[in-house]
Amino acid sequence: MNRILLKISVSILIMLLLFTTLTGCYNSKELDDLAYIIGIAIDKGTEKKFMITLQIAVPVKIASEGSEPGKDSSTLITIEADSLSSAISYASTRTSKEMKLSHNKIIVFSEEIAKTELTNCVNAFISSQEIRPRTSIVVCPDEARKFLENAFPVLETNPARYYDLLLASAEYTGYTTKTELIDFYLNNKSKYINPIAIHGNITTYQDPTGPSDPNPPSAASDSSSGNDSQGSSSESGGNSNGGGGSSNDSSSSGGSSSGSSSGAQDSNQEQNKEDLTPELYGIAVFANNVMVGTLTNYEVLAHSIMTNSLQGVNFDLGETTVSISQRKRPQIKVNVDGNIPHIDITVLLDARLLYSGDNLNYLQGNNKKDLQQKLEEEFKNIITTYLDKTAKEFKSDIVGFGKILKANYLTIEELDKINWLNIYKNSVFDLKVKFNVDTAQIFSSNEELNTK
Amino acid sequence: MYAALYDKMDFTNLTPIFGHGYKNVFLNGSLSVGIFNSLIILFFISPNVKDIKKTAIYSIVISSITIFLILLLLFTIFPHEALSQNSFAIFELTRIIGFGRFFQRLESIFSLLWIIVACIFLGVALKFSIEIFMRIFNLKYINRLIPCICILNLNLSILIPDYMTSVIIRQILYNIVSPILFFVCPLIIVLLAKLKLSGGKNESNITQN
Repeated sequence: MNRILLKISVSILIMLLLFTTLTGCYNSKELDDLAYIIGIAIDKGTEKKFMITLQIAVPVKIASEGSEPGKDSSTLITIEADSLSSAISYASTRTSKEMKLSHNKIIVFSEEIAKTELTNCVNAFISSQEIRPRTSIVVCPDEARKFLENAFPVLETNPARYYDLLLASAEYTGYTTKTELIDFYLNNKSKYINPIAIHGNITTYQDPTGPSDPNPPSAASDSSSGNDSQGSSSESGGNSNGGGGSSNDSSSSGGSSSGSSSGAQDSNQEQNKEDLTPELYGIAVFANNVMVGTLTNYEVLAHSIMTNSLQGVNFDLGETTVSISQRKRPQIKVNVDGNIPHIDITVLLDARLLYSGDNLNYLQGNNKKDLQQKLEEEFKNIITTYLDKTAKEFKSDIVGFGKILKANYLTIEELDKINWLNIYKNSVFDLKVKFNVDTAQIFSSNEELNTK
Repeated sequence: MYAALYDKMDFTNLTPIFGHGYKNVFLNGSLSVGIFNSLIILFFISPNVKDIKKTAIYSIVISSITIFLILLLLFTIFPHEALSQNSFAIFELTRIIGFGRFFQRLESIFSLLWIIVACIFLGVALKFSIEIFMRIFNLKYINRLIPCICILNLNLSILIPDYMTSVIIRQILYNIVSPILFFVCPLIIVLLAKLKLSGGKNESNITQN
């Protein structure tokens, strides 16, 4: 009996010891003790290698009542540093909380960086345990900092949710595509496909109720950007220089804004009526580790079709609007004859008539056939233009024809002799587009819309 | 993992089918049979199992299918150029998993499962290490041996200075030591036993005659 009691008490002691020492609570961190970075912008630095802007969520403002939707829900800190880790370390000295990248949604690069250092940055980011592989990459023609400065959600208060929904818009708009850090990294490493990134932009939205301004400040003007950066950097403090990096202080930005034009003071009054809004429009194309160009509008649509990522998009053909969707993955065959690849492509699409502004009855066979032929011709032109642009101008295989070619060879050594990414520019395309048109409508002609 | 990552799978990553050449795939690849070294446990559990043949077949088939499915997922998502530079490829796969905006960061669940599996494997390996030790030295009591072997195991494991050394040791164990120790040696022993048995039968036939 005593032995049993001894055994039980020893077991309980050991369990208590294990439960109290092995739970790992001694280095736990409360959520309130951390600052979450939701956006990173990387520009070329003046004193250091990079100028890094960190957009930090302010949870108190997100949750509080009465705050403007999205306006105060985040703050910006801009720092010049040689790397992201040193920028974050230095930023942590100026805030009361430890910075965390685990909720970062977007990384914005300026075109200047995209043409030089972007792939090195991506290699560094993918190794980070905090940055998620599904973080989106955006390339901005102007300063990447301005993209974050003007990314204030209007329809919601949570800036992280704003980025999630903005980046998901590629699925239903067709104006851009969704590119994640892991996709960029894997495609950049591959010898058979080139990577792409989302192309962002900053547009000027003119409020029609405001007074007309014959010389509206543009998106790249110092006055508007100076005002915005003053508003954002005032949160981060004034001059501060340290060993880790130097900061973009408000006095220098204020100096640049006041020196830009004497009309800056006058345009402040109209500033309230004009907002800069970031938008995702187009694709940035990369080859040989640098950005070589952009695709916009119908070229992006063609890219979505070729990569089988078209979810459904509305397309205007004259006065007719159709909804286009992909019936099947494009059938692609690739053969190499010497240094000339021959690529046969068959694209199968569905079109559903949404609205016709003319008086034609598309239920009739001839009209339906005409519409089908017009769509096939139009899309053949669009896709051919896109393919020629990627092959001849960009010399970048962003569709992945090289990956399909791989199946024709047994060993990697045989494939390396071809050097696919170098010969892609010589490609000859044979494209066929086939449409299946559904013309059923609620009203078959405009006359039926007129009720007496 | 398949359900979560099917949209990332690209079967063109499996081509070219013979990779870096026939010699690399068949000769160097045959050394990777060391990954099945845990099957040696079947020899130890055979006295306690009713139908060892059925157990062995089931265990080999299930482990082969599991390893095949995991490697298929790995090779269809990562091209070979990126895979060779990735130390924790399967962990990276779990980091990519995400269902919409809500189901993310599932790598923590996988990490917990892997830790539990590793603890079970460690327990089984220690158990059979102790049993071998007992049989070699003809020891009577197992209870006094358990903490000694566990502490010895712990000391050996913390001797390794860094992760890369453990990778090199694992490669040597899996590619060189395991095939010889767990496949070639048992095969030789079985052949010798068969020869001895057939030699013994011949002798008994001769003596009878």
